[in-house]
Amino acid sequence: MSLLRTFILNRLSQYVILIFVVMIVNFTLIHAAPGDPTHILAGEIVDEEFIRTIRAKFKLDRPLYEQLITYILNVIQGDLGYSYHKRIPVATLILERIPATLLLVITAISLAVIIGIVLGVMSAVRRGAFDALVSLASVIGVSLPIFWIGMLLLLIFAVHLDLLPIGGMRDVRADYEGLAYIWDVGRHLVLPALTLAIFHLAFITKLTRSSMLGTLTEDYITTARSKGLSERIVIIRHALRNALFPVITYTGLTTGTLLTGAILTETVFSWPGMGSLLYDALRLRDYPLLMGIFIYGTIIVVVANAIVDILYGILDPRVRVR
Amino acid sequence: MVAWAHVLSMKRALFGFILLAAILSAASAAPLITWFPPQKTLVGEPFQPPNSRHPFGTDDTGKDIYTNLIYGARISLLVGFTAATIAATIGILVGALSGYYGGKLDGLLMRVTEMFLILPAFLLALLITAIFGQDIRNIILAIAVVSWPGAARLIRAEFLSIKQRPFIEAAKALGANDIQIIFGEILPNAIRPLIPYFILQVGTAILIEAGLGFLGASDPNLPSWGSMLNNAQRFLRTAWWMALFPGLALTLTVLSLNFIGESISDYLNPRLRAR
Repeated sequence: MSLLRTFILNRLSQYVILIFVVMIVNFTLIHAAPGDPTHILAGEIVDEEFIRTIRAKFKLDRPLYEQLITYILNVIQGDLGYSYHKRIPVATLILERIPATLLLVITAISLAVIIGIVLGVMSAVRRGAFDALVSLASVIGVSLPIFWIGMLLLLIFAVHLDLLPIGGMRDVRADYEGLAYIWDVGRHLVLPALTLAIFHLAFITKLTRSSMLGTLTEDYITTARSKGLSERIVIIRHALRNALFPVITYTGLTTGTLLTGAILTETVFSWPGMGSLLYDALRLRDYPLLMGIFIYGTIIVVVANAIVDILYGILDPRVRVR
Repeated sequence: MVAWAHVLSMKRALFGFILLAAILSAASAAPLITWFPPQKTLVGEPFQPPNSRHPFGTDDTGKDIYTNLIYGARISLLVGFTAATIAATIGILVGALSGYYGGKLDGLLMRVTEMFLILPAFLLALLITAIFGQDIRNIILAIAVVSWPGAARLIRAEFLSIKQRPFIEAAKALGANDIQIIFGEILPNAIRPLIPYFILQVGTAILIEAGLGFLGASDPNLPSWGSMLNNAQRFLRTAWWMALFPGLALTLTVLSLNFIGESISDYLNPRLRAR
């Protein structure tokens, strides 16, 4: 038990340090940028009063290390400055948008995992023509630019076939409640979630397939078979369980890619999440918002990685002995 | 099992090579196969669907899409290969030093590498270009900055395993110094797995640049497939050709690189061959 505890403490401290490093990197970028840091932190606002407030808040007239400490304290307390174009705190804006992005990302990764595992297993077990087809589809899947596939799906299903809505998260004209609301959001969720899922589906299929292929050659599978167990039980209960490890790890480690995908997908479908917020911030050169999203987004990714890493150590004892 | 997997791999590699060669040729011969100047607006009526004068149609400002597609290939390939090369170079240096010397240096370099690997690459590249400017050199550097850690990790792993081998000990006994061993003995062997990785990295770099272009963060003065798609977004309903062709070009380019990279990777993988 104590080895486990050492492991967890060790890893946790590494990740906490990482988060601090991210904040320092952010801080460095603000100050390394061409121009005055005030410009970055206050945006394009020329209001003297506001600029003075910002300079005071971030202690821009004080020596650099004091500024760094102030900055880090601010971030920890959730104070990321003010969005220049919306005039409300960055943190508020971001928190508003997180649920929408979460909905999109969780739906997409669930789709990708479920379908990916099924296809991967079938591919590993059946081989032959099916395997070749799935394999080809996977390579194509990871080569497709996510924003393009989104636009194509939009074109086909929303524009030409008029089956699904063009964008947004819900119908702004109608005011649905309860079940109708859920159905409405669901309809809007289909295309974006599908778009985001495709890359990961392809990758997970490939991953599951190769993992299964590797597991199926292990000795304990031969043992299970010679015990007389049905092929089904051998595959699902024995092989799959062990083959799934890389997939679980992947799901956690791919948070960064999911975030990136979410940014691009939300832009295509005008999905009101963090991604489209980032797009707006970029377009309008809203630096405080930009930096804020970067910090929050990165912290989320680091936390996800930390969870997977530590969880893996809890589940697989071999990892702890490093 | 091995037989058809092999054949398939070879077929894909061939397809990838031919496709990539076609794209490279088209990009190099751009002035010969296009008849409008690139980036020039109003060479025809805006919003024309594909026709004989404009094979891929025109966009909202009257630019010929076919022309900009071909010239855009130059940008994508340039960015892709340059960024991947810079990333590989940095990665090799870091990985070699880290793997060969070990100890504190290794610990430090690995921390840095891991940090970069966890941070979302695209987001970081986006931030760098947003702050330091959007011209093409910054973009290439930004992509290289987020890409080198992967190569470093790979090279380091190779170095760790190769430096144990007897022939290294022999080289040392013969009086070779560190530099000679790292670059003369270990590196030529360590580089093998890096080759398919490099090719796949080019594809990734191209996609990152396209993503930046799609968000409007790429170089606005150069024809970029990503920027073309950014533009196409607003006119999706009326001008589907603005979105179809740049995206198709992107997909085919990255696909060809993926086919080639994966085939080489399969070829080098002893497990698949032995069975």
